[in-house]
Amino acid sequence: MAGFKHQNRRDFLKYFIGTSAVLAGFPAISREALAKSDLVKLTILYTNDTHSRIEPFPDNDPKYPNKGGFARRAAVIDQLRKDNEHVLLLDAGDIFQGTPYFNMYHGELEYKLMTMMGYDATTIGNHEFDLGIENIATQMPHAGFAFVNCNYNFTDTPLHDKIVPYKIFNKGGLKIGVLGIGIELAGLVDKKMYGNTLYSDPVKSANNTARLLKQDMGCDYVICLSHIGFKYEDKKISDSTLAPQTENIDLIIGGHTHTFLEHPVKSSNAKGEDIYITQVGWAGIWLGKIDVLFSHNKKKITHNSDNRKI
Amino acid sequence: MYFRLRYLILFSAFISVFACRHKLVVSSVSETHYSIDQNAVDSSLYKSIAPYKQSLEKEMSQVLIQSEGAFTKGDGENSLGNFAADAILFETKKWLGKDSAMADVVILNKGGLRNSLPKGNITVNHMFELMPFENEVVLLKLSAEQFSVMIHKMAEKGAVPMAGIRMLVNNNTPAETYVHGEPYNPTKPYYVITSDYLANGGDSYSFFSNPLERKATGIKVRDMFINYCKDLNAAGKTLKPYLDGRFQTSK
Repeated sequence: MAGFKHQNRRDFLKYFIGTSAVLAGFPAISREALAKSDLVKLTILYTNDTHSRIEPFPDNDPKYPNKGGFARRAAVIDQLRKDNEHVLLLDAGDIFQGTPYFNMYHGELEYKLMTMMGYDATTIGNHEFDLGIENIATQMPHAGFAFVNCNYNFTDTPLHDKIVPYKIFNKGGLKIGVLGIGIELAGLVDKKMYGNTLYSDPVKSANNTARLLKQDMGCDYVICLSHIGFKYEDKKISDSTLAPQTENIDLIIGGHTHTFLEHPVKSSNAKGEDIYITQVGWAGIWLGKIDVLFSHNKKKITHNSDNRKI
Repeated sequence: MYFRLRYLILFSAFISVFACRHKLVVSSVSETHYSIDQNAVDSSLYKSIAPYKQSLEKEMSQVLIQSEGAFTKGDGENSLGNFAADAILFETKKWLGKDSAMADVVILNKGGLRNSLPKGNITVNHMFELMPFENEVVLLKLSAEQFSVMIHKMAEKGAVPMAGIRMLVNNNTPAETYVHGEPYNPTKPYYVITSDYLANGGDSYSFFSNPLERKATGIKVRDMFINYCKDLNAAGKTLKPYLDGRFQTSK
């Protein structure tokens, strides 16, 4: 009986998607239709390199006139939370530095506003160290979200008990593992500023942490918040060279290179499985959104939405 | 029996939730992004920003010093470049303290100075407009060879912001060079103060990339400008635009 009902739901969904796609192009699956199906949709919203751009760029800015702004981003997020049930809001680092708000308030306002927006996690970018590692620790009480990093060793620093290698979020019955990796600090940040922070290979660290999350902790999906940069001309490690060396990571949300990726880049991991790399420029000019539809069955289904299928 | 059964049920529930949890599989992924350019704001965030914005504006409009004339950029030696380089030399010497004599020459890049300074009140905001970048001041010990490459490059570039050095340039090559008012010694290493941007090879200053020694001050270029204005003001002085012939070209 249960099986029969189940089948009906799937038929309904197929019918619903098929019809709507023909009639209206690519409409979203409604929350009602999702609720009746055995599918669970996770909505991942993300930013990177927001760089203290509290207010929109001025109207006379040559490159980004009247773009960005925390209060406006929050309004978009508010709406998306109404339209989507299971939302994760993530950031890939470099929250600090870029406007006098940072020079004057040292990151306090950035953390407070991100907490109000309901950010779930961020990672540590190189500019977080701009006023010294102590300042990160000082500002952290203003942040109601997790700081994840698995390739910096903070043991001998003021951040030793404040940064976790990963965090698991439970959304709609899903277990989502979020880990973080950071860029090599030597030569990029003054030693005095990062103190006794020790860097280690992001490939090894990310793989070890992701294996733990996927294989041992039973996560359905693993996201890597990366601040190592999208791509370089030389052999320096980047998201593009990291992805093919990974296992157990499904999505890399990147930062550092301020790359506006019109669409996430699809890559293959070490086992030939899909892994996506994304990054939305900087300064909060864009808010990225990735919808992942999960099923209890291995069977792939057709899915159309307001988003572009990738 | 009842209790045992209850425990058994609880135990089974535990097993099914934790141990035998059925993993979900990704069946599709889709994406989009939103350009943040709509007028709608979240009012609670907007209200939270307001008091910070107000006191920031107050801070930014704080008057640092009076200026007796406008400082402008231009080809050749110019008042803005002289202000910037003199400020960095003065503040770096202050930072060096008893070692201040080791500071020889300041070199900045013209492109790094983004706005002129007006006559009258000079505010914190003017300093942010002049130097919006977050670069820091570094001290480099250059070998005699590296220093020679540097002055040849300066002669080619023509009047970059400089202090502690005077140059007479002939056909884009240095004809006469003085450091600390004395003829430059081509066999001696010198300490050059610059921004980390140039020290890292920016603006094709590649000769800075392997100095004999590199010392980071940890102080921003802009903060040195601000502190210089404050220091002069505290000493009862004003800013005066001037040229002193530190970079000349022979006709």
